[in-house]
Amino acid sequence: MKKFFSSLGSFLLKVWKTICANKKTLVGFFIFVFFILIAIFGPMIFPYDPSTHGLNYFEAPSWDHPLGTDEAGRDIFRQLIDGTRDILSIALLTSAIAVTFGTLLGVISGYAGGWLDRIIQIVSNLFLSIPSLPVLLMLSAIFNISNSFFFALTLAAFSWAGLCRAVRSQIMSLKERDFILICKVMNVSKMKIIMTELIPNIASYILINFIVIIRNAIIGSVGIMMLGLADFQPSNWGAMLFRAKANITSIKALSLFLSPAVCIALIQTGSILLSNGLDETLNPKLKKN
Amino acid sequence: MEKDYIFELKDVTIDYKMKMFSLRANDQVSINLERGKITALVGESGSGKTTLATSLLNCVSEPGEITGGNVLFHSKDGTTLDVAKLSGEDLRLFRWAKVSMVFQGSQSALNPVMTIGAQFAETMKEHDRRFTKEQIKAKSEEVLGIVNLDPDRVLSMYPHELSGGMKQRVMIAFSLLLDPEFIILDEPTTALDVITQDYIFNILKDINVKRGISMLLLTHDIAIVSKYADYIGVMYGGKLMEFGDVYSVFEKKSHPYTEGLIKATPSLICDISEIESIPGHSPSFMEKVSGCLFNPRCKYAKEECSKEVPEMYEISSDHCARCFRAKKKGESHGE
Amino acid sequence: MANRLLELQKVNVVFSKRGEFMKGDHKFHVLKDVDFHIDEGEIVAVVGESGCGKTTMGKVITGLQAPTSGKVIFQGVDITKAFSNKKEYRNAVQFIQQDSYAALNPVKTIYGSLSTAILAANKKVKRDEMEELMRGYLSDVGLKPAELYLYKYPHQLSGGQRQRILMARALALNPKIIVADEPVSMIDVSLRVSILSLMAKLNKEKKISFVYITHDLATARFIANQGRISVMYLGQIMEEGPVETLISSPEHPYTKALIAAVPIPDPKKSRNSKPIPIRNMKLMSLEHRKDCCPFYDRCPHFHDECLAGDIEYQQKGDVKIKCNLDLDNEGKE
Repeated sequence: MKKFFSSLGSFLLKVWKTICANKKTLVGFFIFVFFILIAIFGPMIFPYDPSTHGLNYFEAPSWDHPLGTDEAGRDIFRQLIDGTRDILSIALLTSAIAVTFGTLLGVISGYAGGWLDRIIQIVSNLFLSIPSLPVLLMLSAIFNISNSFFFALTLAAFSWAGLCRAVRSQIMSLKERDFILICKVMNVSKMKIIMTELIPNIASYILINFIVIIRNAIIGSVGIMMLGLADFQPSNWGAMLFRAKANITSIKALSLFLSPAVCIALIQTGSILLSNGLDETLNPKLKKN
Repeated sequence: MEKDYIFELKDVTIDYKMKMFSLRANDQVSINLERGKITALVGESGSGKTTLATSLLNCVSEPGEITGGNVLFHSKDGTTLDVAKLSGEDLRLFRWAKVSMVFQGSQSALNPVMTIGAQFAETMKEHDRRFTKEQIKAKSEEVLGIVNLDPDRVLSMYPHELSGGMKQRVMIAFSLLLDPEFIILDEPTTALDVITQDYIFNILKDINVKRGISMLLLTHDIAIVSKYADYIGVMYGGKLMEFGDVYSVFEKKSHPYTEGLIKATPSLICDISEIESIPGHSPSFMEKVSGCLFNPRCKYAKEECSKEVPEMYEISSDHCARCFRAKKKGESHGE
Repeated sequence: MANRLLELQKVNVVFSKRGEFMKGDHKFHVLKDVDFHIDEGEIVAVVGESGCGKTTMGKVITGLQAPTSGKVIFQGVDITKAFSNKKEYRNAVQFIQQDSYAALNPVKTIYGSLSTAILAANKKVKRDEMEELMRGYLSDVGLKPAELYLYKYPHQLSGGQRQRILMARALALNPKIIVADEPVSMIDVSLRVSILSLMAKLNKEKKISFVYITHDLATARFIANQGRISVMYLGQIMEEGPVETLISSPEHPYTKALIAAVPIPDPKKSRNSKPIPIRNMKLMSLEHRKDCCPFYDRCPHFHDECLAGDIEYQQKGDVKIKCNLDLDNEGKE
C-alpha cells in the first residue's frame, strides 16, 4: 500500500513537471481546472433557480444579477455556472467514449491486420465520410435527444473514426520496429506486447487527442443546442445562445449572447493551448534540437 | 619551401549558442589545407569534424556560429577571401562555385519529386541565370561522365530509382557542376558496401589527380584514410589532436588517441591479439575535462596531463601533435 | 563431433512484389537453397553486401521470418513444423539488432526492458529477485554499478552502453545462440572492438554460440578467429570455411573481390594494392537474378557453363565453394 502511494506520488510529480514544462500547457491547464472547479462547486455556491415570474426580463447587470437577466427574468450568471457542468460533462463523456472506441479498434485493426483490419477500416471510413450535420438534423427530427449520455454517444459516433485511423497507422509502424520484433523473439504474448510495449508509446498521442475531442465536442454540442436540436437543458451555453438568437435585434440580449460566447471562446483557447503545449512537450519530433 | 595552401584556418572557434549556455563544438582549430591534395579529418561522432567542415562554406547549422578565428580561402586566381566574414551575394557566389560539399546520407540531399536533370539545372540557374539550356545539358553530361554514369538515362531518373552507390555518384557529380576548386566529402561511403566504396574512392582520387580539385574528407574509417588521403587530421572533442602527412602519422603515431584509433581498427592482415579498444567513452560537450581532453582515457597520462592543456608541438615539418609526449619527441628531434 | 545446435536445410525465402498491371506478381528469392549450421559454442560470421539476404537469414534463424520452403532444425527437431518446444526454441535463440536505439522501447526504463525479458524466460520471478538478476546480467556485459543504468531511459545512454544493454537483455533468456545483426556498425570506432570482445568473452565463458552478421570482413575475422565465415551473395552462400583459411586463401571469385576491396589501415601496404578483380561494378538486384551463378555478370572467370543452371558446391579441405571453376588448377596459374 505504501509502495502504491509512493509510485502514485512520483507519477503525479511527473505529470506536474510535464505541465510546467511548457507555458502553453500551464495556461491551458489552469483554464481547464478553473472551469472544472466551477462545474463542481459553482452550483453549490450560486444555486440556479429556473422558476420565473417573468416580470424582470432583460434586466441590466446589477449587484443581484451580475450579468443581468434573460428573456424570462432568470439570472444569466447563475445559468452560465449551471451550464458549465452540463457542457463539460457532455464533452468529457464524448471524449471518453470516442477515445475508448477509437483506440481499441485502432489497436486491434493495426496489430491484427487481415480481415479484421479490413472490416474496421470499412466501418471507420463510413463514419468519416458521413456528413455529420445533416445526419444530426435528421436524427433530431426522429429522436428526442433527452439526456447527456445519448447526446455524448451521438457526438462520439462522429469523432472516434479519425482517432481510430491515426492509432492504426501508428501501431502499424510501431509493430515493425526493432523492439517489438525482439519481443516476438522472446516469445512475449501478443496481449502483453500490446499493453506494455505498444500502448505506452502512443499514450501521449491519445492524451492529446482526448483534449482535441473535448474541444470538438464542446463546439459540437453548442452547435446542436444552438440550432435547437436538443432542448432538454435550457441552461446549456448553446441553448442560451439559441435564446439570444431569437432576441438578437435587441441590445438588451447582448449579455445573454456575450456571456456564453466568451466562456466558449475561453474554454476553446484553453484546450487549444493545452493540446498544443502537450504536443510540444511530449512529441519529440516537434521539439527543437 | 612555402607550401601552396587553398585554405588556412586560424584559431577557428565555433559555438552552439543555446538559451542557457553555449557548447563549444570547435576550440581554436588551426589547420592548413594544401592545394591539390586530399586532406582527411578523422574523428568519432561528436568530434566536431562536420561542424568544422561546414565553416569552410560558412554554413554552420543553427544555432552554431563562428565566434572566433579566420577561415582564409586562397582562390587559384590569386584572390583571398575570409569565408567567415562573407555574407549575402558574395557568399552565394562563393558557395558551390568555389567550394562544394557532398553530404552524408545522400538519400535526403536529393529532392525526391524532381528528376536528377531538373535538379542539376536548378542548381546551375540558381547560381547564374545566364546559363543556357545547352550549356546546362553539356555540363550535366560532362559531370555524370566523370563519375561513370550514363547521362541519357540518369538525367531523367528520380532519386528513388537510383541505387545507393549511384546516388552517391550523382551527389559527387552534383558537387562538380560549377567547377569548384575544393570539395568537402562528409562520410561519402558510410552506407555503402566495400566494393562500391572502393569504386567511389577511385573515382574521387581520379577527380583529385586529373582535375586538381582539392578535397577534405571527413570519415571515421582510418583504413580509408590510409589508402586515399595525403594528409590526416585527427579530431577529438572539438580539438585537432594530430595533423600531418599520412605516412608520417601512421609511422610515428604521436598522439595516444591516434594510436588508439589505429589499434582499434581490425584489418585482414593484422595480428588480432594486438587489437584493443580505447577504454572509456567519447567526451560529451557538457562535461568539463581539465587539462588534456584525452587524459581520462589515455594510457600514458601523467600528472601534468590533467593540469595543463597541451599545445600543438611540431614533430617534423609535416607533422604535429597536441600531446606532451610529442613535445619531448619534438625537442629531441630538434637537437 | 560438436553438438549441432541449429541447422538450416535448403531454406528458401520468396518475396513477391506486385507486378505491373495484368502481369501478375513478380516472385523472387531472397534466400535460395541456403544450407547453414551452427554448433555449440561456435562463432559463425555471415558476411555479405547489403541486400544479399544476410539479415533475412538472421530472421529465419530467430524465427521472425518463416521460410517459404526448407527446414529449420533446432536440436534435432524441425521447428517449422513442431510447435511443442517452441518456447524452448524461442528462448534459446536470441537476436541483437543493429540500431540499439530502435531496439529498446523508448518510453521504458532499462529496468522495464530487462524485466520484460526476465519474465519472458520465467514468469515466477519475484520483484525483489528481479533486481538481483539484472545486476548479474549487467555485470556480465560490463555495466557496473547497475544503479547507473537501471533507471535510465534508452536516450540517456550512449550507443555502446545501449548495445551492452541489448546483450544483457538477450542473456536474460539464457540463450544458446545469439544472432547479432551488425551490432557494431553504429558504434564509435574506438569502442567497436570492446563490444566484439564482449561477444567473444560471452562465447567462451557461457558457451553461447554467435551468428555474427556483418558487411565488414575485418571485424568478422576479429570475432570469429577460431570459427567459420559464410560469404553470401544475392541470397546464396558462395563460400564457407574456417576464417583464416578463407581470408588468407579465398577460392571463390566473389570472396577474392570482397577481400581485395577491404582497405588496410597502413598507407605503405594499402597504396600498393591491386584493383579489385571484377568485371562489372553494378550489383544485380535480387529480382533480376537468374537460375544460375548469381555472380556471373561480375566474375572475371566467367564462361558459358556459368549460365547453365544452378552451381553445385565443391569441397576443398574445410571449405565449400559454390563455383564451377577447376579450383586446383586455377591456383597454379
